[in-house]
Amino acid sequence: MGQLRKPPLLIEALMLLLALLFLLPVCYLLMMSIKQPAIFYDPFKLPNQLYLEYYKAAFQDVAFFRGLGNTLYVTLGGLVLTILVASMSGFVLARMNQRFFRYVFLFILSGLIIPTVGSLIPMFKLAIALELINTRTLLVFMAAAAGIPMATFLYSAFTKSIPRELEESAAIDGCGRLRLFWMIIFPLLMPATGTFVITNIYAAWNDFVTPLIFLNDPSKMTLMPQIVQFMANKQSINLGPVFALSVLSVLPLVVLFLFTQKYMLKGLVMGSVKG
Amino acid sequence: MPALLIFGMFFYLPFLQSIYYSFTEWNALKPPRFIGFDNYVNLLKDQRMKDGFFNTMKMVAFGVIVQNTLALFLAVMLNKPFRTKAFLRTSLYLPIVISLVVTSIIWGQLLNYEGLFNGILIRLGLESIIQDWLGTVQTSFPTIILLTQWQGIGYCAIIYLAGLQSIPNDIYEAAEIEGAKGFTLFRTITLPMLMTTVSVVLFLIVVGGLRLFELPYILTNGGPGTSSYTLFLAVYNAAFQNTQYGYATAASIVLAFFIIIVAIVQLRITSKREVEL
Amino acid sequence: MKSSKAWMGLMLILCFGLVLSACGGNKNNNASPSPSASEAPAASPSESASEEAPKAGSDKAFTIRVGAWFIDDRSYQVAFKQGIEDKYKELYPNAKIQWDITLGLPYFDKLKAQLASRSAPDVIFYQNQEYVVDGYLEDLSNEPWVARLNEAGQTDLQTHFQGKTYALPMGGSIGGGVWYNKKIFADLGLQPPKTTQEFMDVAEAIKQAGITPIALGFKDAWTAQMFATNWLQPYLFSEDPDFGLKIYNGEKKLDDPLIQEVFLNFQKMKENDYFNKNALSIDWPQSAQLFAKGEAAMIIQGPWMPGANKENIANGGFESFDIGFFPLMDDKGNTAMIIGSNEALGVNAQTELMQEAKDLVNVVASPELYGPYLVGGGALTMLSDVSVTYDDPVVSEVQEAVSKKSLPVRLESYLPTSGANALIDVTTKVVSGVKFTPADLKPMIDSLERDKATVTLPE
Repeated sequence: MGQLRKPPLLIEALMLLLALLFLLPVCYLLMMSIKQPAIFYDPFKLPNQLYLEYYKAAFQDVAFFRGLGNTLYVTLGGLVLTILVASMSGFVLARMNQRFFRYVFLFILSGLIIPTVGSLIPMFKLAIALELINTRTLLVFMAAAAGIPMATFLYSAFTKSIPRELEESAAIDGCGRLRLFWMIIFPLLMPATGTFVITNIYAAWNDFVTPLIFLNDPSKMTLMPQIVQFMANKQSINLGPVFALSVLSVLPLVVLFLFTQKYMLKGLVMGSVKG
Repeated sequence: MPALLIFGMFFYLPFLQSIYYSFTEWNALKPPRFIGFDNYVNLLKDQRMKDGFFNTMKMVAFGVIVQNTLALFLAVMLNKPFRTKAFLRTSLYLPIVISLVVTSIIWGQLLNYEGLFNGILIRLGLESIIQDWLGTVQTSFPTIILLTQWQGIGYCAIIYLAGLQSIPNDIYEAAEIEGAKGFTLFRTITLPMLMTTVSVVLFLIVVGGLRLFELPYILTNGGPGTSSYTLFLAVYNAAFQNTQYGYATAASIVLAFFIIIVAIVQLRITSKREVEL
Repeated sequence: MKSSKAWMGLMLILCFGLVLSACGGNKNNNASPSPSASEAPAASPSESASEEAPKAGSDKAFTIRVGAWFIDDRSYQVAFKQGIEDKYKELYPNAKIQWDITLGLPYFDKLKAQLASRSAPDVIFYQNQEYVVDGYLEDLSNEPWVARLNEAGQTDLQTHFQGKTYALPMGGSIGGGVWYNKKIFADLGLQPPKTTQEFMDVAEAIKQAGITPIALGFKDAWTAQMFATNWLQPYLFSEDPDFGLKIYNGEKKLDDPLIQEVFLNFQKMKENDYFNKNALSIDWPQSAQLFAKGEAAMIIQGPWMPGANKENIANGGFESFDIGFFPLMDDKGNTAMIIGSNEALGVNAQTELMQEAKDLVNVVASPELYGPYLVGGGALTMLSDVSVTYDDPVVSEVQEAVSKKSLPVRLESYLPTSGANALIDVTTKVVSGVKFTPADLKPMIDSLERDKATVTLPE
């Protein structure tokens, strides 16, 4: 039972060292956000007081909470929409074995691969035609379109772990297809949902180009473009508030991650067993 | 299916339109002018595309050989019952949460000529090797590759870890009874059982490597010179910096086919190995 | 079974989409009515009104959109923006100006997408003639301020095309030159150099004194372009004003010995450590900071430098010093300054608020707004009745250089955009420490060959 023996302390120490190395930039970010101006550019001086002026400046110059609200709206909207549609499509694609469905599956998967650079202007025209330009709704749809390939892939992989007999017996009990899916199958696919959320929430949260191009109204702007625009406003000579803002924008994701990482691993294990 | 609808509309439709543009000279303002295959021919003599191609290949090779191996090694380690297991896993995975904007702010400062990294080198008496890591032709792209490792290796390791944990314990027990140990155990049991995961991780690494864009874009914008261009960045700058949208779409279509072929070949190879093992 | 599910799904998604887009639409209307959504004009001034000074305007309520990429929190920019709002209110008391500001280069990507899809702002700040050539801007030749354009304003390239005026030029400016710290020069007994060799000698003396000779912030690629272009100018154009045309016609090649010489200068400066070590990884405000602190003695920048430097010294609490200027030169001592145009302000040809947009441009052209804006940016006037005076004596040094020799064109005027960007690539490569070879100029030659059709020759 070699798996249960505790490894030697030396190896553990080495691993800890590696982990600290990975954490160093994150700690650096945190440290720089509270480092007083006098020693800001001396890399070896540690802050010896809690200097909060940068945070004050950040809150004063940038509508942080509005940005946070917009980011939450776009990110959560995108996730919910993706989950709604991709769970169904993933399930169907996993259950159908005809050639047509396999091609559809490949078609969707190709979205993981195809670059979208040339699509900007057609996309922009489409947004105008649908009267979705300068709306957060458009960002929700675009986030969903970007997330669907991965989500479909995950859902179809997890579907294979659900025994078919379950559906058959439910169908015998007179359960409609849609009800069957949402009442019985979808809850069983929770690990896929969890995995998807945890591995994809960053994409929409951290996107800074799309909002900048497709939104005009500063009151709809999400956090990352806010930081980029804040920096462009001659902030590079006074980086303190930028660091503070960065900490604030990363914090929600880090907290989320800390609370969900166990769950994510479980989801991935299930996925890889049957995937 | 609704997924198809959204995906088709907000992803494929714009893409299909862009195929037409690839045969035109188009600056986004004037109506496109049809020029046949000129764009495709010109791709071959573009310095940025060339450097982008070689750098992208370096990235993929590095990812497949080093990142993949290290991630597997890390996963094996993380699977051991360390006392600080949760902490180790969290800290290795955490970088992926940090956005690229923030990443570039942090590393831009750390790797600056007067930054912490060079400061440490000086204290270690290595003054001769300090330099402007992202501002030197020889070091800019290698530095970017290392940063991709900081960001991405934890993600791969976690996927491997999941694969490891899904291997039933009784197989190990049976093998240990037969006297298998240490590396032999890993080679004869773990690796073959893990082949599916290997192909998933390799797929992610290869596609991710081919699509490498944001880090060089935000840290060096391909410079100094064209030393840290990637294919994707070359395409992006052709469109947005040089306003040659027709040319850029031609390049992106070539890139797409290229990625698809590499992905298919790679999947073929790994799935064959899965069967053999 | 599959089809019923698919249909249900489609319904679901449609409903969902409708609900969402409905909300989105409403919000959109409240916050930013697009031109098409604005109410019917109550008393729209007739076209002929534009012949004279703006009439009383109207009390119609509307929102007019203005797009810009540079209006940030610098004090003169804030004042400029406020001034436009106040003065426009006098004309249209119920109008609201919506500022569509995207700082930096993404603005232009967005502008192109907006123009192509007929959703661009009504009044557009832009740079580069392509918007005019491609027909996206309204002909403003009959606007009252056109008569007030001075000679520089009348010949300004990016606002004129085929004899018509398409935009209000927001002043001209020197392409750039060398700003130096007079205190450091005086302490070391140095004079502003006249030839390339003297420039090198001055740099050497400053380096010996333990000060960085030249501060560069090449992380902003345009600063690399600025240095290269302004140094190419005397080498290429001081003795042959048609050099650019010859490049375009193929009489001269882009690996001309004169061009090579400039890059060899860069190489020499790099080899001798005349630049800050982090030249390629800091941006221009950071390089200006080095200069303001007195850690670097010279900086190659644009006309805004005196103002920006004063502000930096005040904000940073550094020791104040006088700033001097000299133009870049060739090895014989020739100089040739670039006179270029700053931003241009045009009217979207597709706008439904045509008169209102024209009136807004007219407001900006009023001396009370135009003048202070030019002063803030260190610009030269392009309106005959607006004269700008600078209290900083350095401006006379700039003007002296301009009057000695200056040209409205530069090498890039004859290159496609891709060629100008290839020029930046060579510059950053050499400044990062790679030895220059003539082969480095090959990408520029290729891009001229490939994209020649996209060049609009200066008239």
